[in-house]
Amino acid sequence: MKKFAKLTALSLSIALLLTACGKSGGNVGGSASNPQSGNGSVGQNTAGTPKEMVVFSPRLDFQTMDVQNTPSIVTKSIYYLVYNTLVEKDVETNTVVPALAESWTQDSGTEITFTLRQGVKFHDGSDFTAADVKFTYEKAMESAGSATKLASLERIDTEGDYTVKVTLKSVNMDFLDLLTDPSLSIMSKTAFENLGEEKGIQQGTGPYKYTEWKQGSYLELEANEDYWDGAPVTPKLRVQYISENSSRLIAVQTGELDFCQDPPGSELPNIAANKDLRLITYPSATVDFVAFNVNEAPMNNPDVRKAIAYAINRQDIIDGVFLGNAIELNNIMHSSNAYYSEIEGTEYNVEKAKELLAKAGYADGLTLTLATNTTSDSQAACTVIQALLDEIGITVKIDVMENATLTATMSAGVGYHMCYSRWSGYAFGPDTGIREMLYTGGSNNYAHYSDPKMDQMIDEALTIEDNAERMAAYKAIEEYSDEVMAVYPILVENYTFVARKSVQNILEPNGPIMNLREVAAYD
Amino acid sequence: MAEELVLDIKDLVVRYDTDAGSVKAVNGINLKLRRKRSIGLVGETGAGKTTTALAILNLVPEPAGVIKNGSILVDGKNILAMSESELQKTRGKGVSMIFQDPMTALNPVFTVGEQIAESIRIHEGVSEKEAMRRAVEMLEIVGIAANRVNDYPHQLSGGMKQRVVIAIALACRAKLLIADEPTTALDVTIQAQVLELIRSYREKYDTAMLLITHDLGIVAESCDEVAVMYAGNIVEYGTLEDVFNQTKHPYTEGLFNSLPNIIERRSKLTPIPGMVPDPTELPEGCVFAERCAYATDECGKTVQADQWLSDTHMVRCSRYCEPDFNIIRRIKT
Amino acid sequence: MHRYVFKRILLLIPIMLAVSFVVYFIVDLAPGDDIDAIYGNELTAEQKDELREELGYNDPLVIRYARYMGKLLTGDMGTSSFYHEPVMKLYFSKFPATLNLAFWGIIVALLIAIPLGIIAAVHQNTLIDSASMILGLLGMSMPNFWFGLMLIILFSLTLGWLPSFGNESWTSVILPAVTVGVGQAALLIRTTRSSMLEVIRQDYLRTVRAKGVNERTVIYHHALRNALIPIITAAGTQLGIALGGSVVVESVFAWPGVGKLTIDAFNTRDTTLVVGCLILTTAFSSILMMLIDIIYAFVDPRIKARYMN
Repeated sequence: MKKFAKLTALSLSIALLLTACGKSGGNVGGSASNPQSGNGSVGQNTAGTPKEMVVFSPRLDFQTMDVQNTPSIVTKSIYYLVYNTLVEKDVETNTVVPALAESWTQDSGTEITFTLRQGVKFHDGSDFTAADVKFTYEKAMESAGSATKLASLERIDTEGDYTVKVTLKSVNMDFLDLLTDPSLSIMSKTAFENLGEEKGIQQGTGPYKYTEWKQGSYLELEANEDYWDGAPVTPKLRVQYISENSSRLIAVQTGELDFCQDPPGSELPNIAANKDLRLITYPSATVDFVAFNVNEAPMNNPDVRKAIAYAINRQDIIDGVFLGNAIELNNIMHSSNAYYSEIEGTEYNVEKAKELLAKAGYADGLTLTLATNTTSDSQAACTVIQALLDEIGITVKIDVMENATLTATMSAGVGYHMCYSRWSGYAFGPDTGIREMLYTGGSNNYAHYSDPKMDQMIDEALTIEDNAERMAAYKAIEEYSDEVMAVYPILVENYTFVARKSVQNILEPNGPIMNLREVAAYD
Repeated sequence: MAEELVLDIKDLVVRYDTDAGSVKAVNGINLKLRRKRSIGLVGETGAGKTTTALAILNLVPEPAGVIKNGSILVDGKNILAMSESELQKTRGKGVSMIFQDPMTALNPVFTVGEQIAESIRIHEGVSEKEAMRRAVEMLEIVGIAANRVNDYPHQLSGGMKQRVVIAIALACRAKLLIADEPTTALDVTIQAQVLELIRSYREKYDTAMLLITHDLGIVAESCDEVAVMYAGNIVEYGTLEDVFNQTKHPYTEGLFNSLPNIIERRSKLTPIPGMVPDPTELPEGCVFAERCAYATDECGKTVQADQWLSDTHMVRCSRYCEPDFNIIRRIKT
Repeated sequence: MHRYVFKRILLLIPIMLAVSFVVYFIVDLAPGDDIDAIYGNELTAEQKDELREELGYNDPLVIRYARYMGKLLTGDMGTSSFYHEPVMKLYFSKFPATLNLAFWGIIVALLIAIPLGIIAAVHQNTLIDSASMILGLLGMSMPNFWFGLMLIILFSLTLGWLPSFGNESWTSVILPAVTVGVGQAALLIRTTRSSMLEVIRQDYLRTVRAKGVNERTVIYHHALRNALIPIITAAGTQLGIALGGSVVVESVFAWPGVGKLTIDAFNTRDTTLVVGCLILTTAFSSILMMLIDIIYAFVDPRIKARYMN
C-alpha cells in the first residue's frame, strides 16, 4: 500500500485541485495564505455563536485512558484537555507557569514547595487536594511509562490540604519541566477509592470531560462548565480517528471534520489555494537525524563521521522529501527549546568531506549500511543521503526494516553503520532529549556513543541553578556534540493542521502536545 | 387431409459449424405425420435423428447448430418462423419430447414433482398447488407412487427417472410427442411397460408420435409408418408393411440383416461392411454408395432423388430407375 | 446433520491449537517486542530488561505459550500491552463493524458478479463475454486505496451524498462495501462464468426448455441453482478473508475494523493482542466455513443426502 501512496497522491492532488478550482470559482491563488504563517489565532472572529460540536482528526488514534502508561503524543494531547498537571508550559515565553499549583518556591536545589490552587473540583465532584498530588506521583513512580520522569524524586510530603513538598535525590533543574508532561496529570485519589480504577482514572480537573469513547472510531468530550480557569467556548469536542491522511483532508473539505492534523504533504499548495481551508503550521517536536553506530568500524573514527556530515545537504532532504515543509536543524538541541543556542554547526561542504575521508584513509571510498523504517518519508530521505554520499565515494546500502524490527536492531547496536530515525522529546526540559541521545546507555542512544566527558557535561548541566550559566553549559554540549558528531541532526518537520475557515484558536502546541483547550468554530 | 397434418417437415437442412468443419447433420429431409398416427425414425447413431427431433422444437444447440433451410409446420404453423414467446407456448403443449438419457435429463436440484408441475403451471395457467396435484396424478399414471413426489432425481432408479421424463412430456397432453429412444436405458421387461404406457396414453388423448429408435422391433410394435435415416437423409419411407415386407433400400436391407434372428439362432449376423461417411465430407452422390453391394460407378456421382414406388412408399436410390432392379432379402420375415 | 455440525465444531479445537501455536511462534520470531515498541524512547536498555524479567518475557517460548493457553482455557485472552485493555473487549468492539462490512461487501460483489458472470457465460466468446471479463479484471486491478479515495471524492466531496468516514449511520457502509465488493467481484465473475458454462451444456436444461420455460427462468432458476456451489465456495472464501478485516479499506474510510487492530498490534509487537485477534478471526472463519457447508446442503440435495447418511 505504501508503495503506491506517492502515485496515488499525485492523482489525488489532481482531483483535489479540480474541486478546489470548482469551488473557488476560478479564484485560485487570490485567496492563498502563506503556508508558513503559523498562527491559529489570526483573524479572530468571535462574532456569531460557537458551533455546538467541533470535530477533529489527529494523526493517530486515542490509545488508552491509562494516563501514566502511554508514550502516545495524540493521547497525551487529549489528557491535556481532560486533566491538569501541577505546572504547565507557556509556549510563548518558553517558561513553566502555574496550573494546579498556584505558586512554588525552590527551597534548595533538591527541595520544592508547591502551594496548590483551592476550590478546584474533579469531574466527579471530588475536591482537589494535596493528597491527590501525592497519590498521583506515587502511582507514577510505579508505572513503567512514567517512572523515568520521576526517577529523581526522593519523597513527597503534604502539609495540610494545599501544600506539597517535594524532595529530590539530587539536583534536577529540569524537574518542573518534566512535571508538565500530561502523563503526570493529577488524578483524584477519592475518585479511585469511590469509583474504582477504571472510572476513577477518567476524572480530571481539565476544561473537558470524557463522555463517550468508541475505540478505534471516536472519543467525545464535553465542556466542564465548572472549569477553574473558565469554561471552554465549544460545548463538545469529538476526536475522530482517520488513519489515512488523504481521507482526513477530504473529510475537512466535505465539512464532516472541522480540522485535522497532518494532511498529505503533496496537497499543501492546494490547501493554501483553497478559500474554504486554512493551513496552520508550527515547528513540530520531531527531529530527524542520522546516528552513526560507533560499535561498527569505521564509524568509531570521528573523521569518517564528520566527513559524512559534511557531505549531507539538509536542504536537499527538506525540498526533495518534505516539499519544503520542514526547517533545518544543525544542533542536537531542538530549536524551540529554551536552552537552544545558535552554533556554527556542520554545514554542507563536499571538499571538506572528501578531505576528511582521505585523512581517515578512505580516499578510494567505502561501503556503509543505512538502516531505516518503512515510512515513505524515511525511505525517500535515505535515498537522498545515498545520492549525496555517492559523491564522496561512499556507497550506501539502505536497509529498510519494519519499525519494531528497526527499534530492536538499533537498541542492540549491531548490524548497521548508520540509521535514519527521529525523536520527539524536547518539550520537557533540555536534559531529556540530549540524555536519551548521547548519554552512555541512553534510551535513544542509537549511536551507542559512550564518552565520559559527554556524560559529565550532561550530568553537570542538569544541576546548574543559575540560568545564564546553565545556558552556557548547554551551548558547550551542543558544540561538543557537533564536534564528536555521533548524531547528525537534520531537520524539524512542521506540525500541520488543516482547518475550515470557521475554526479559530488552534494554539501553538507545547512541543508535541496539541493545545485544543480554546478551539472553536463560528458558522 | 392436409388439415390433419400434425407435423410437416419440408426440405430440412441442419448443420453444425465446428472448428473441424461444417457437420452436415440433416440434409434435406421431408416428413409428414397425421393426427393419432405414429412414425418411427430409424437409423444408426449419428444419422441425424435426434437433430431432426430437436429441430422440431427449434432447440438445435446454438451457436454451433444452424437450421440452414426448410420449414417445420407443427399444426400448420412454422416453428422456424415463430417468436420466442410463441415457441415457448408450443414447446411442451404443441410438441413435447421424451429425452433419451434419463440420467442427465432431470435437473438434480429440484424435486420430480416440481419438474413435472412446472410445465403444467406454464401451459395450463393453474395455481402452484393445482399444478402439484396434477403432477402427483401424472406420477401415478407413469406408475410411481405419489409419495415420491418430493424426491430428488438422485433418489430414484434409472427406470423411475425415465418414467418421470415421460411424465413431464405427457403432462400437458401435447398433440405431438417426440420420443427419442425412450426405452434404451431400460431393461427389457420395463421397456414393454413403458411402451404400453405411451401407447395407452396416446390412444386416450389422440396424440401423434415421432418415435426415434434404432430398434426395429419397437418400431414394428408401435408405429404406423417408418422413415429410415442414413447420414442425414431419409433413404426409405413408407408404411410398416412397405418398409418391413417390401424393403427397397439396400441400407434398410442391411439393417434387417444385422438383426439377430430368433428363429434361426445359429445363422450369423451380417453387419453392413464399411463405415458411416464423415459427416463433414459427404459424397456428392448417394451417401450409402461406398458401402452398398448394389452400387454402380454412377451411384457415387448422381445426386439422389426421392422415388415414389407407390402412394406410400418412397425410396431414395437411383438404381430404381432401372425397371428390373430389385434387392434380394436374405431373411424373410 | 446435527452430528455433522457437532463434528465440525470439535474439529475447530485442533485448528485453534495449531493456529495459536504457529501465530505465537511467528510473532516471537519477529525481532523486537512490545516493550521496545511502546517504551522505546522512554526507558533505558537496563530498565527495559528489568521490565522484561518482571513480565516473564525471558522464559522459554514453550512456557510462555503454555501460560497463555492456560489462561485461554479459562476464557481469558489476556490484556493488550499497548491499549491496556482486555483483548476480548478490544476485538469485540471492532468485530461487528468488520462483520457488517464483510457482509455488505460480499453482497455488492455478488450483485456485480452473478449477472456479469452469467451474461459472460451465456454469450461465451462474444464481445459481451470479453467486456464483462475486462470489467471484472478492472475491478480487481484497481487498488482498493485509490478506488476508495475516488469514491469518496465523487460521492462525499463532489456530490455530498454519502459520509466519507466512520460507521455511524446506515449510509456509512455504502462506500466501503462498494470498495470491498468491486475488489472481490473479479474472482466471483470468473467463478460464476466457468460454473455456468459447465451447467449451461447440461441435458436437463434442454428438458426444461422443451417444457416451454422462458430463457430467463432457464438461466436464473434452473442453471444458476446448479452452478451455485462453486460460487458459494468462492464467495465464502472471500467472506472469510474479509472477516480478517481489510487494512486498506479500514484506513481509507476510518472504518473501525479488526484488520487495522491486528496489523497495528503486530507493529507494536503486542503479542497477546496479535495472537488473540488471529485466534478469534480463525475461529470466526472456521465457523463461516461450516455454515457454508450447511448452505451447500440446502442448495444441492445430493450433498444433503451425503450428510444424512
